[in-house]
Amino acid sequence: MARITLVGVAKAFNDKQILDRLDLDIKNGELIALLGPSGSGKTTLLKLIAGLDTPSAGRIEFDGSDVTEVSTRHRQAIIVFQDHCLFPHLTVKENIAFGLRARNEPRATIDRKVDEILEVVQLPGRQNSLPHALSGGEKQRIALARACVLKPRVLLLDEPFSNLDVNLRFSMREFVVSLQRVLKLTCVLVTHDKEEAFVMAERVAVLLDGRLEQVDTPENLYDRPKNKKVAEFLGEANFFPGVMADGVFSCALGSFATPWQDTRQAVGMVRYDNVQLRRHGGITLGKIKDKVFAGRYIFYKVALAAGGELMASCKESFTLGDAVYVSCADHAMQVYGDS
Amino acid sequence: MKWGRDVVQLVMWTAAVACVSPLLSLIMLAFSAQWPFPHLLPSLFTADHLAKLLLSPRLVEAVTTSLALALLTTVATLLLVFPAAKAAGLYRFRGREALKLLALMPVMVPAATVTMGLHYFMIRVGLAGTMLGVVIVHTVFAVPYAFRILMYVFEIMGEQQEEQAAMLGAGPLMVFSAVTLPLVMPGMVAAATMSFVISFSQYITTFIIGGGRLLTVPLLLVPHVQGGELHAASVYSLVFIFTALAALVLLRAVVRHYYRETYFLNP
Repeated sequence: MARITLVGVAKAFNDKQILDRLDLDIKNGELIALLGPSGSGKTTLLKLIAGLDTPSAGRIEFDGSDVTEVSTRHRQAIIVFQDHCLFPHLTVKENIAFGLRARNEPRATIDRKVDEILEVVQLPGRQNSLPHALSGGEKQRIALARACVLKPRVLLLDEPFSNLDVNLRFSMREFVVSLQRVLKLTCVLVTHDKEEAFVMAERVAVLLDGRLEQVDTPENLYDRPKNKKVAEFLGEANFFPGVMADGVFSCALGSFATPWQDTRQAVGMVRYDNVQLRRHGGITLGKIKDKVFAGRYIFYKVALAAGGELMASCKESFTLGDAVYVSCADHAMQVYGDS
Repeated sequence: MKWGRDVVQLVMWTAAVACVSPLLSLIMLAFSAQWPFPHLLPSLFTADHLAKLLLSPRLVEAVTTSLALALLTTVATLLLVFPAAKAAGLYRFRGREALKLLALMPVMVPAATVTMGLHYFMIRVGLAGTMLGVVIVHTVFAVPYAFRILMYVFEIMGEQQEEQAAMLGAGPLMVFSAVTLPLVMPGMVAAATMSFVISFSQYITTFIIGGGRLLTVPLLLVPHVQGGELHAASVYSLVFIFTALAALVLLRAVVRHYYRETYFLNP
């Protein structure tokens, strides 16, 4: 368990910049999610932290001491991969005991620790199973046990649940969060799934094209994405070109008081669920053009009378062709410089 | 689906019959005393050919030499091929494609050409006519096959298992013995089998480099075939086949034993 600090970490392959001077401070015992689309450099960053690869520039610190030159073997940073990577020729017990054997711990200690961690991951009595006899969720739990039994300084999870079916994924998320709290592990979760990042992590770091665009709590990230790129990536966002003047942003949706004092071309962003649709009373008129039922919400595509379209999600039921008034609270409007 | 399986079965059985039937006629030939023309089976059987051969002192010498050559070739081939196959299978580097092609060269050029060239060189360094010289030339022909087999095995294995072992704190020796070796063991057995059989069946290379000083089973066999002594040739062929088979079965048994003992029974 350690505090992890990345200072100006960069990585390039054949002149192609994969990671661009990242600074990140991960607190001791924190579960942070590294969120980004595939190809954004998430796994590369994980490999740098684990020492499977070396950064082209910058340094990595564990508890304030530079580990950039420390070998993988001695770094005590363990990745749990998506495909669990259990050793197929070793039993569950041998798999979990692997790292303890590497440390030359006495046999009795190894036996005790293996039994203990199997209790923790709720698979007692599976010592002598071979990996191929386990289900997907069980394999993943054994892989977690194999890493956790060593009390690593940081546990790195590389899309650990994407091979599991939906229900299992939900229970594994809960399981990992409680495991991380019980063992007080510093934990980095790599994922491309926004929901997974929001549900599990205390803080989320958004990685786009090798840059850390925003590191924030899930709430802040969702409500106040720092720029258009992050808002676009997080999805379910409407964008309106408009003009800023004296702190008021004017666009097709109306005028909004904002805390910003820019006077130039700008783009406003409103999340689908921050758009209100009403049958009566409002200024901006629109017409329901399309409707998709998605369980928790109904998604509507609304054509504005003044031109343009937007998306809204709510529980109320409208039918195609209904005339609706569209509005949005001032604080729900995020405004970015037009770039 | 069912139909497809029947076709596969048919092909397999045809192949099996095609492989075994020459062996059957070989066995009958080896034990026949009289086999006049129109008959399907020999009219009189005898063990004389076999007895005569088994009593000849040269047979023991030939079998021993053949086995020794094959074993040494197998060991030399695996030692040479393992690091090369691992590099070519796992890592991306400049000249990787060139290495793959280069490793195939000895079997793309006719064997006699390679051997003649090596012979000239071996005479100069004093290896012609020695066991070591013959092992070297056999190894040259075993390497391409063993390299290919192992390279694909490493490609399939990938780097992740070794990386995982290192992250768990294993040193290079433990990574090798507890992860890499067991995972590529099936490929090692295949490569060893290939090397063994290639060495065991070498004729022209043993003949040229050994210069007649090393007597192997193929060297005993070929003159009988050319001389039209069918009974003797058949008996030699049988000895040849069964020695090779026995050695391979033994090799596999030893590996399987080691594999289980170390990794499945004693954690």
